[in-house]
Formats: sequence, C-alpha cells, structure tokens
Amino acid sequence: MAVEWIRFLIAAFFLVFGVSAEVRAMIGVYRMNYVLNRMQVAATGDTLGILSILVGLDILSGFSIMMAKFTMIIIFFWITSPVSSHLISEIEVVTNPKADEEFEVKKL
Amino acid sequence: MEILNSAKEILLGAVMVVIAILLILALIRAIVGPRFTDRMVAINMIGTEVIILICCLACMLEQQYLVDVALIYAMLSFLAVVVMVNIYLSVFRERALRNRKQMEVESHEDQIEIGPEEAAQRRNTDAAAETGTGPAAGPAPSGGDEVSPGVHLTDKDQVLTEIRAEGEEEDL
Repeated sequence: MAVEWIRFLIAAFFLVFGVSAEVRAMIGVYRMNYVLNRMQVAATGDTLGILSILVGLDILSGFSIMMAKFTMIIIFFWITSPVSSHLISEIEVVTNPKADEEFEVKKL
Repeated sequence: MEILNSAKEILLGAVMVVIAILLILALIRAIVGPRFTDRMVAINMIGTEVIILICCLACMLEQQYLVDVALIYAMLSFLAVVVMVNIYLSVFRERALRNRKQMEVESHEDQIEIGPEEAAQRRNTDAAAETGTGPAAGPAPSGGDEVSPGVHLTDKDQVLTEIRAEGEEEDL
C-alpha cells in the first residue's frame, strides 16, 4: 500500500513539473517578441513538458503495454519535434521581410 | 485504495483542465499571431497538448487504444508542419523567380542593344534558372562579388540573399 502511494507521489511530481513546463512555454510564447524566440520557447514545452508528463503517466500506469506506448510516443516526439522546429525557423528566415531588424543575417 | 483511485482521478483531471486552458491560449495565439510562422508555432503547440490530453484520458479511463490514437496524431501533426512548410516555400520561391524575371525584362528594355552572343548567354541563364540545373548554373560566386542575374538557384545561400531582397517589397 505504501509502495502504491510512493508511486503515486512520484508520478504526481512528474506530472506537475511537466504541466509547469508547458505553462512556462505558453507564457514565453506570449511574452517573446519575435517568431524565432517564440519557437525556441515552444520547443522547450514540446520536449521537457511532454517528456515529464509522459514519464509521470508511465509510472502511474505501471508495467504494462501502455508504458511501452508512452515511451514510443516520447521517442517519436523527440525525433520529430526538432525537425518541425528547424523547418519553421527556416521558413521564417527565408520569408521574413524585416530579417535585418529581427535577427543577424549572414553576409555572403 | 479508494482514496488512491480518487486522488489519481483528481490529479489527472486537474492536469487535463490546465492543458485544455493552455490549448485555448495557443488557439488565440494562432488567431492573433501577426505572421503565419507564429500560427505554425501555435499549431505545433496545439498538437503537443492534444497528445498530452489524449494520454491523460487513456490513463484515467484505463483504455489502451487511446494511446494508439495519440501516437498517430503525433505523426499527423508532424506531417502537417512538413507539408505546410514545403508548400509555402515552393510558392514563395516561384513568386520570387517570377518577380526577378519581370525586373530583368524591364531592365533589358532600358539597356543599349546587346550582341547576339550575350543575348544567347542570358537566354541560357534564364532557362537554367527555370530548371535549376545546367551548365549555365555555374559555381557560386565567392563572398563580396556581385550576384549576377538569372541566377544560381541551386545554391541555397544565393536564394536566401535574393529572396530576402525581394521580400522587402512584399509584405507577407
């Protein structure tokens, strides 16, 4: 019984930390001025937030097939989220008309 | 055991409520965001939060199939971002190429008559710029040289320089 409670408390810690990471990411998206800054902050929510929440859910669900599926979601997300962030920042750098004001442009 | 189950439900319910509020805020950012890249960042965040919501629901209801739904949703949201970016980038480059050709036509009308060899060379560079390949698309100029017209669209850095110069005229 005590083991169950300890498991619950550890999972609760991870869940609360993950939710706080997502809240911080959302605050950052609203507070930051430029798209590249917002994208960087959103990426922290995409990586740390979802990792922490899914680890908490892993612990909460115990050793089962759901644990394997949550782990698979984490792996897939950690592989694809940087690719999405890179593509969004690439299109921002290429298409932004105010590029010189907002970020340092590489002189060729 | 009863207390533990109700504590688990309350915890997961609270997490889901907070994530739902964040989802609405991300939607507001998608509507308000001044540039379309702001909206893409917001849509990416919405995708992440939906996955978290589905996984929390799966844990609360103890149904395994919902986690499969979350996994497929993750794949779809990634694919959506990739497709949107590729479509927009190709449309933007085509527009920039069209504007460049129009500017060249206008500048050629003002110029003194050019010899047949130079006219043929310019036609070659235009054709190569359209296809993106060919001998006319030669090596990229070194830093500090002027960019020649009818240009080396195969070189990504060249494209960035020119598109940025043209992008100042258009407000996206």
